[in-house]
Amino acid sequence: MEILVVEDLDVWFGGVHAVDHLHFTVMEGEIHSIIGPNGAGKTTVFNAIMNIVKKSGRIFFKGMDISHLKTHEIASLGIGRTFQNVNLFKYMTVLDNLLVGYHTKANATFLDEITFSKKLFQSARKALIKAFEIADVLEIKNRLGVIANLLPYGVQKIVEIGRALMSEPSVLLLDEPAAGLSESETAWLYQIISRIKDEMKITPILIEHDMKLVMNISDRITVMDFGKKIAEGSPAEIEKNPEVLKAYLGGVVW
Amino acid sequence: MNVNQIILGIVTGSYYSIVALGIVLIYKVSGIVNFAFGNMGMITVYIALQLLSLKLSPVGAFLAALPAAALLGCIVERFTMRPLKKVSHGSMLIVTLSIMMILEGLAVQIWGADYKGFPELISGKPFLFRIFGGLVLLRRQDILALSILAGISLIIFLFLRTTKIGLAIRATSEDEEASMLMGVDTAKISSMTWMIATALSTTAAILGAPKTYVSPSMMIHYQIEGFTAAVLGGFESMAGAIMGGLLLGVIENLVSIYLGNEFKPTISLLIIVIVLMIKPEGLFGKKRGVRV
Repeated sequence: MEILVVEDLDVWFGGVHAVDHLHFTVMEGEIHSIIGPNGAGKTTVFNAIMNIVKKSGRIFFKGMDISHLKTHEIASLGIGRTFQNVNLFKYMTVLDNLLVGYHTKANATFLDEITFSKKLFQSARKALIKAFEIADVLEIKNRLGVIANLLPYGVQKIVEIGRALMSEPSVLLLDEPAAGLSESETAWLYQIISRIKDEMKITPILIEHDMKLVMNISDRITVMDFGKKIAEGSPAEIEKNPEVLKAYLGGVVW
Repeated sequence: MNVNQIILGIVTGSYYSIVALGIVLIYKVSGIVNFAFGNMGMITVYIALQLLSLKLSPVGAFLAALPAAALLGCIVERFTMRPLKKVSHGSMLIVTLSIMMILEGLAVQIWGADYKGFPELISGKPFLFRIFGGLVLLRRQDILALSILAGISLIIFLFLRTTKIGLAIRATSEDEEASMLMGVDTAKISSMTWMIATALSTTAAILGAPKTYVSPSMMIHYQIEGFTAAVLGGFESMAGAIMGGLLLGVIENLVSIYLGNEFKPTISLLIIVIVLMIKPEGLFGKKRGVRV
């Protein structure tokens, strides 16, 4: 089943056509990757999906048109996202970071909070259980009390994924999760992404430069260059595509 | 050391602290140094004054002015700050300055420029203490101001630490975009912050009104002192704002005793300059190193 459909997406930055008539479809339960040279407009696609940049075109999530919703509404519907450069709440603890991720799921109202109602405690309890569950999966349980800024870069990236998972999204947009990670950390990341897909039933969409990771993990790949889609297909098809090789010639070699 | 003056300084400082707390709260969440802050409270004092003339008790008028303050904060945020969100900090400063002027002009037009009295929320015989041989005279209103400051500080602290909305406010103050992506309605958070902060301004204005009298320029002094307190304590820190206010009150009182009363207004401006030169992050602010 299609979970995310991007139709005729255009983004302009002044005179630059950053995303040019892009369309692609992501199937539920598949790992879909977007690759392309630097400046191809990959991150802009994510920003357009979350409605952070001005765009034209239509985006459907589970069959519903979300192109005109606000960012926080799109997030509440179940699309999570991480950033290329870690974007944690730097001066909050890892646990607090995770709890902010639970914001949309926490159903205690303001009234519950000032009256210390039963619902407040239930909600807080659920949030904590969820945070520990996720910390357990990501093996960051012993870091929960640490201020995010003090963690090594690789761990921060993992925490960021954890924060996005807290809202129990159906689609997770991962923007270069392997960037800046060591080889062993990348291997660990590979496992995490697979578990996210298989165990949590979340559909990951990946922007990635690490070709080994992309080719191993993806079910389907969209290749972009200068804002346009130049190819789409399975990893095996993409590897042989002459257009793709041309775009990458002199660039990244895999 | 004159204990008497220190205690009176803390009392005066508690008014500054309340103002500083509001200014810092707005700054943390929306990144705006709000110069209209005091005058927003001033407008609501006039509303409270109107309610007094309807035979409401002072406390009743105060409590009724709080929702009015929240409404005013909400309106100012919604119709000036939010549409102008993308402009630079410098321009934003000018915007808040003009709102300050507009509110003052509005008050002159509606209520006139003359001084009006405002009753104390609790009246009665002042307390007389004897501490270290010195006599201290405290009005009940001053003790109320101190307790309100303590209460507000505790409530805000707990609110930010333990509640879902408090967590969302802290998150928004650190990174707005990331908060939106977590599903936090940051526009709503910003409105709420302005509502809470304006209520703080009203609290300071009404508590101080018996001393300052009600006039369109009644809050100028508090605005400057509150700003100084925030700079002194470090603009990033709520606890710093509170401590900065109290400290400023004490410094002012000691200055007026040892140097003379006419130095009082100068000293706060001098403090701003000195603190910004020597320790720009404030006495209680943490230096936030950038990781490279």
